[in-house]
Amino acid sequence: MGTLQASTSYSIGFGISSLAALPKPSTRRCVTVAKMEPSEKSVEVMRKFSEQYARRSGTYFCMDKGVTSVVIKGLAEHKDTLGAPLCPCRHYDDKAAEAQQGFWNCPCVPMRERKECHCMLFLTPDNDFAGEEQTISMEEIKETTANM
Amino acid sequence: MKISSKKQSLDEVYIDSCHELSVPVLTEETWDSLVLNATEPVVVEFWAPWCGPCRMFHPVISELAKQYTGRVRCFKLNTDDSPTVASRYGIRSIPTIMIFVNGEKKDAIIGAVPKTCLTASIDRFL
Repeated sequence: MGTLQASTSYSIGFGISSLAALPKPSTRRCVTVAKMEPSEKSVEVMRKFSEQYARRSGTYFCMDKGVTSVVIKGLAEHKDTLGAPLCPCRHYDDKAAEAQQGFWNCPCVPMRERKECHCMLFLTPDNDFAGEEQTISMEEIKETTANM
Repeated sequence: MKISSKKQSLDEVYIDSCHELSVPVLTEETWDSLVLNATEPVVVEFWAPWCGPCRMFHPVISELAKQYTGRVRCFKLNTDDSPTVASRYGIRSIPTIMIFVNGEKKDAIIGAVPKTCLTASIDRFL
């Protein structure tokens, strides 16, 4: 059985940019079973980090802030449980070892080197899903993930 | 990508997210019976709860499930709940879609791609 190497994973960027737009903002989403909620403190840390890094890298949040919110919470959850904001959009055979190694800790190496964020947290302006904002409030995060 | 094809995919992507309920969930316990021993081709979405793009992608899988009713079985597998299966199939980036025929992995599509990419792949196995 072939194994998907990390190098192939970036095809997500192309796939996403070829889509026209998102489903409408998703405050009324009715599914998605979330696991344990991250601490409010870590969510706030990752929220601030995300705003700062978007500004610094010249990237923008997704036009569906629900995507942004879910990823920020995922980073916060990993910060709580692993001590590092490991990318929540990948599967790892050993999460603790990955967090220790650091390649996929946010901002991951592909983001830092090539502005590639397959999690869609930081989108370059030419991405079809990029919104116009580099800020997200705690209220927005709570609101867009309320039904999870 | 031309503008016209982008517009087309907008309609394809937007589906009421409540339809997500229609895609049944796979676990490690049900993997063999529902995927490996299935008589029809099987499409599996590997996803995780804190993956933003997955959240966007669920409606596409729901739509596929409806479109191929009776011909293809569509499932979702939470990689946090079933890490062994995800590791066995070398899942890295999420979401990843895999297509199985007679229990054998035939294709893997990585990322929140347009529905047309998935249907093109699935149609090859029907």
